[in-house]
Amino acid sequence: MSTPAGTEAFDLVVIGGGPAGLTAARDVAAAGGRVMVVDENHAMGGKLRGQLHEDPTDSSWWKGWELAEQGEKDAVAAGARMITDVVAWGLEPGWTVRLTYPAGRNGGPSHLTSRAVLVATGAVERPMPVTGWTLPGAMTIGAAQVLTNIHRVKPGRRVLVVGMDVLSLTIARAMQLAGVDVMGIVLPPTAVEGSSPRATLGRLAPMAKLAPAMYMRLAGRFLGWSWVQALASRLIPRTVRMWGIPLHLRTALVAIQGTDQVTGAVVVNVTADGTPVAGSERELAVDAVCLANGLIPLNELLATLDCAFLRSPDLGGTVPVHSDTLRTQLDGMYVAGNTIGVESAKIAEKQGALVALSIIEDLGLSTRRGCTAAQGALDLVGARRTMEFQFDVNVQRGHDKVQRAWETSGGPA
Amino acid sequence: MRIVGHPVLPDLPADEVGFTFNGEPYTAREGEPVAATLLANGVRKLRVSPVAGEPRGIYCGIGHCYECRVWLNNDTQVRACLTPATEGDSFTSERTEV
Ligand SMILES: Cc1cc2nc3c(=O)[nH]c(=O)nc-3n(C[C@H](O)[C@H](O)[C@H](O)COP(=O)(O)OP(=O)(O)OC[C@H]3O[C@@H](n4cnc5c(N)ncnc54)[C@H](O)[C@@H]3O)c2cc1C
Ligand code: FES
Repeated sequence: MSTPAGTEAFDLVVIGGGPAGLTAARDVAAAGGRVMVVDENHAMGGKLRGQLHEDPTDSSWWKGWELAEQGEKDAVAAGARMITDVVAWGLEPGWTVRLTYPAGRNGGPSHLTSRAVLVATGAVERPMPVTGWTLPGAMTIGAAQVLTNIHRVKPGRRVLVVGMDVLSLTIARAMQLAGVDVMGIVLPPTAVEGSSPRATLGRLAPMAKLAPAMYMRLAGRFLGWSWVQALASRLIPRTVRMWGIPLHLRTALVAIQGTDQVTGAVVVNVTADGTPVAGSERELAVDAVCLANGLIPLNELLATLDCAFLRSPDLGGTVPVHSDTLRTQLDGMYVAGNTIGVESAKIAEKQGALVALSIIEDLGLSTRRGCTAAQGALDLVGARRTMEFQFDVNVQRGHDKVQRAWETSGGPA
Repeated sequence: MRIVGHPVLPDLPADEVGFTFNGEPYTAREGEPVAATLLANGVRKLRVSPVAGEPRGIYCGIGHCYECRVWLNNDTQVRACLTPATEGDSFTSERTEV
């Protein structure tokens, strides 16, 4: 770096180098913008880096790690600059992005100034408090994904997964592929909202209808449709298997055990509506417990600013009010990716391309005539409809609610 | 606990960075966070909670929860799930008074 970045003015600072941020950085840089991406990880790519799924149509693999490397290369080739190992902790109108370097090395500028800022900070996991959850060996399902697929270290030798959703099933499979003994998947403790067998299957069943291809992949060639059939039936079976991994559809976690680290887990049988069956508690010997309780959009950076928020369970939590072209109520402030709703990496990438169109238009960066942001917004709705992988089937309803709030608010503040 | 010969993903480069944790020597793969190196060697407990003295280890794995914090060279508190070691680093659960 020839000039310290702190004294330079950027056209765009992107906070978060996941698929949304990297795509936007690439496109705005390609349109001639001066772009800087900051990310607190040691490598760019965000959650994409840890993803590994089998494609339902042709059995090829979705290797997030390779896609992340490519995304970074493309953004750099387009002229975007990057700083890793840095946390953005403050935003001041005008715009100033305050930075800190928690590792105490790889230091850099204390702040960046920019005409536009894109918040693309992604999503984080919703905690699942339960007795013993702070013991070493008890971790989120996302930590298990990162350890297994990125760092190639087994989360444990014998692992219990708690919580049944698209993510936990996918990651259980990834652990099994890597040689981990995944001894089973059980339901969250009964105190966790919506954790009963009926509620869990109620969430999964519509997805099986909307995305049969995904369930084919999840169920695997060997197991056929037994699980999907279980979803459709009124009697919930005790256990079904996926790739040989038992899914205990009527068993819930009670507590995680151990003194210095996890040595076991206590589980209990539950009725369809989640009432524990007295006397059915038993202990399982495991050295790791992976907790899956859904994802929440991460956007606390915007909370200090004068910008309205809206709660939407369809989107996974609270999100800043924004337009369908991903503009916020604040001039020069944009949002894209899981920070405004939990969705797959493919959608995050499309949102990155869309927000880039808005930024390019607003900053007057390129006169090249291509797709407008308004057209891009319509394409995104179409893409969502054909997506084979959804965290929540009602995600578009959530986005529509945000759009109505945007229109009622009269757009930019 | 290392995963070798993964059926889908390519192998990672070999170990090459030496560091210590609570005085014990370990070898990390270049760029991997210390918590991953330690787990690969069967070490899960990274520190104890200041008040109750309860053990703590990796929880979120993505830098969000700060449960994994350790001291780097007795000088800075870092998140072990994000921070890679550089040659000769000393990581400790506690800071020692100097
Ligand atoms: C644990 C977990 C597992 C997932 N697994 C899958 C999966 O298997 N398949 C799938 O399709 N989707 C998965 N997702 C959804 C995932 O969020 C999207 O696929 C996609 O990665 C979202 O892209 P993004 O660019 O919005 O955010 P992300 O990919 O999350 O990238 C955001 C980046 O911003 C960084 N960041 C956040 N705050 C700051 C800050 N203040 N300063 C600096 N940097 C910051 C983060 O560290 C991160 O690198 C998963 C999500 C989580 C949380
Ligand atoms: S494990 Fe959560 S910050 Fe490191």
